[in-house]
Amino acid sequence: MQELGKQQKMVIGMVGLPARGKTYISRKICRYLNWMGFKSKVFNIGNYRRQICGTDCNSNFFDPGNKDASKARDECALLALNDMINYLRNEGDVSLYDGTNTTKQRRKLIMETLQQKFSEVQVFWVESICNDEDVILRNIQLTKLNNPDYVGKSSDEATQDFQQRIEQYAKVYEPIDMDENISFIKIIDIGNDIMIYNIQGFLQSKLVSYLMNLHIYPRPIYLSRHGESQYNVGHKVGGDSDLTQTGLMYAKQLGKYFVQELEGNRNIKMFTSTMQRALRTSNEVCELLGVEYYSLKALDEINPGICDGLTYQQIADKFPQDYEERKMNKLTYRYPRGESYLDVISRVEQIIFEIERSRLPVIVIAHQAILRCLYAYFHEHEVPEIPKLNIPLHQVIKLVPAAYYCKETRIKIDPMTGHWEIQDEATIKKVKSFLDL
Amino acid sequence: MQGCNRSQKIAICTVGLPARGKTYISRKLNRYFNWLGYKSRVFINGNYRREICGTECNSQFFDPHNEEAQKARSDCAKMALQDLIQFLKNGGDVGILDGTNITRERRLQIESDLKQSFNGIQTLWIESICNDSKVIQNNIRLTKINNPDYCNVNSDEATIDFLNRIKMYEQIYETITDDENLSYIKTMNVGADIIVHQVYGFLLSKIVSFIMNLHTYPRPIYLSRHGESQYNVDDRVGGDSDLSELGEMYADKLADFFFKEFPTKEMKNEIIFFTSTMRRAIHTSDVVANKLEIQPLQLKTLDEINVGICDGMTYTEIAQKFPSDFQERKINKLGYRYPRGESYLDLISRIEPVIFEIERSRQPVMIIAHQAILRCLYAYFHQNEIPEVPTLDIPLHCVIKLTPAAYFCDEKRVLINPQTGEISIKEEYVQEFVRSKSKQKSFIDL
Repeated sequence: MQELGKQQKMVIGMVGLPARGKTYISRKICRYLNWMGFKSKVFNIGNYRRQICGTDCNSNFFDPGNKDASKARDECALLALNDMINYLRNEGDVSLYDGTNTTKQRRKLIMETLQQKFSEVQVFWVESICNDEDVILRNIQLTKLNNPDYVGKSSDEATQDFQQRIEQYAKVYEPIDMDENISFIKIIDIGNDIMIYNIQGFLQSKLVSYLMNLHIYPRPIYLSRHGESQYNVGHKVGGDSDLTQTGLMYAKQLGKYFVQELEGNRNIKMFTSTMQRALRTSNEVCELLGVEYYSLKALDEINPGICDGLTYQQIADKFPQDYEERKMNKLTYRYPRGESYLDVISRVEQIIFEIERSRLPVIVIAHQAILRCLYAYFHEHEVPEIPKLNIPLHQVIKLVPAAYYCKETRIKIDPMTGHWEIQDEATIKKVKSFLDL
Repeated sequence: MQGCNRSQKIAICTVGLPARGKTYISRKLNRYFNWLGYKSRVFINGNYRREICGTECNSQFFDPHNEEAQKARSDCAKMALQDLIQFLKNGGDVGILDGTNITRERRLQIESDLKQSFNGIQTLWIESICNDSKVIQNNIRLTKINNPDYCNVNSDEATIDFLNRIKMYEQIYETITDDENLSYIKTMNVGADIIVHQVYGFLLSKIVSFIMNLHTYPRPIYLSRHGESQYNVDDRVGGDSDLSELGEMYADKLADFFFKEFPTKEMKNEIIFFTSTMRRAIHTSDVVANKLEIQPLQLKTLDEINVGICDGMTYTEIAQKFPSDFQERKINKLGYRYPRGESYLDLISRIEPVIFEIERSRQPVMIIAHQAILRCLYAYFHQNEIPEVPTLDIPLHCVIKLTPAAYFCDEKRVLINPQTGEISIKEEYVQEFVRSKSKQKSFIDL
């Protein structure tokens, strides 16, 4: 259905006081859109300001009365806008304009500039409003204190300065009004209240559905393949084979792992596919945990069409051309009478919504191609990488969403001994790349 | 995704002045839930009032100071609510209370009754607000004039009386406020502006997405199967066969039909054209696309039902090779899943995004697909009972044109002879359908 959204380029403008989750939301949207096949990029005005005006942590810089600073900030905003337009002209489908944009005048300026320079573009505004002091303080602590603006400052100093900065913005804040005649969604207090106005088109409609499901509960997501299956041993693709003895043992060990990990918490959501190997694995886990699972056809493994039941060698022999084609473009290649990875992404989207929406821990027991797609969404991989991502058997991937990324832990479980080996993946690389969002 | 959240009961209550589209929204939601596999029903306050107090066409009955009438109306509303609660207790999943519910007092009473009746029931209030007098006049014209309240009155008189009735309601109208502590959605001006307050949960989120996409533009929807395929000729299921000679002829005649149906270039360019990724559909669509100079979108979601291990067999062969499956399917064609394949229920789940797209579109929609797919789409728009879906008549070489009218769809079937191009038309209009249905005595939705 993605083609429907490609019909027009789009700019998404963020609106809101500092520490209201604008960057969090724009990054989420950007990740979702890229995953769905829309080339998207976030243009963070703060980054432009830091590059051009230096990392100035003094809140006086943000005083609306400070004429020089205001002028400089306006210039940065327009620079970001220009880069955004160029991106759309060249390769991009959607640009996200991540800034406060808190005055009617600024929003009008952006709309007029876009109208002049790129009239065919659709514009959609996302305003984040939050009045909960605790949430705001937490946001500041989680994200601002690592901000280059506050290098070398104590966290108390930084927090105080940042709160003053917010007050400067608050002096001139004008929430979006309906008579500005723009399409928007207002998210108030993390989705407690939502206002939607004048939504146009396929993509905006999808985004609104997506945004309504977001929250900031840090619930963990566990991904695991089914235990080893007969076809795995035979190196065959497709089929609906059962577990091997080893696979069955993994299923039991997996159950034991979850019993310990969840510490008796039965309030979880578990999803699996309709295929034997996944169902059997899930059954074992559920018996030990005492929970129920949802069996969804949407989680069934990628359909290899006419290659069902063949080994890769046999495919290479019988269908040499297809074999080559798939090697060259594993992402878009569609098995005759079967699916491509892109089809799977499309199919699995509803599961992403379910997982996003859930405030309870989520366990997904599924298949390699399916988990590659899910994992890529949560771990922000480039879509072309998806078909090669490493999701081996007998391993649980635990993802815990943090500020702008996911903390990942991999737990290798030996089916025979039940021994666990925990691998903590370095997430530091995510934090340092603050500048290249 | 029917699997998720079966245990929760949901009660949806409408709020709004008359002629604001409450019944329209209730019906649409009811339709959507039933199609998705939830047991859903609408309980219309107005119908209860009509049965008990008689068809009252005088607006004085609705005067808030008319104490006797007020009591009667209040009793009727209570009955409707009780029936809704009973429905949910007896296995219903979603109960929709269609009434004005314009005072805080009334709402709080209903909310309290509902919360007391069930542990963990989810309630959602949908307020429809409209200040555009043109829209309101149009609503009155389209729906109220056929209302049993006005069957003996001419349409001008009816309109005047109805406008007076609205004035009665306006005197005491209180819009929903946050301190009532209700989960609500307010839709204004036919969905252009929506406010969502404290709405959480799988189904409730779906409702918001669904309502966002509703509109009342009467755009037509054309459904057609591909032309006759090789497998059709051999009576085989599944496969990815190409068109037979007859099928190719149909494609030509279909293109001619659409060419005449959309005479100008602007009209052609407006068409939203979907097809599947299977050869027989693509070839049929290509012929149409070339003639109209437009491009179809090939959606895998529109591919025919996957028949798994029975792919390529005839029904006789299936009966011989898999006799128990054959029997199972005959008994429960809706839920039966071909081994390694799909069931009709899987299909409905699969094509849900296409339903959203069609609902959202304000331009004519053209779909060239397959029998099982079209049965599901047709059933959604034509409000068939779900168990009927697998046996609906969607023949080859026939275009079904659906034009959504107030609460139903006008239907026109255009049977095209592939060889001669001769056309025969069968039409079913809403008016007849409504009149025939309203003769039924039922409190519950028409």
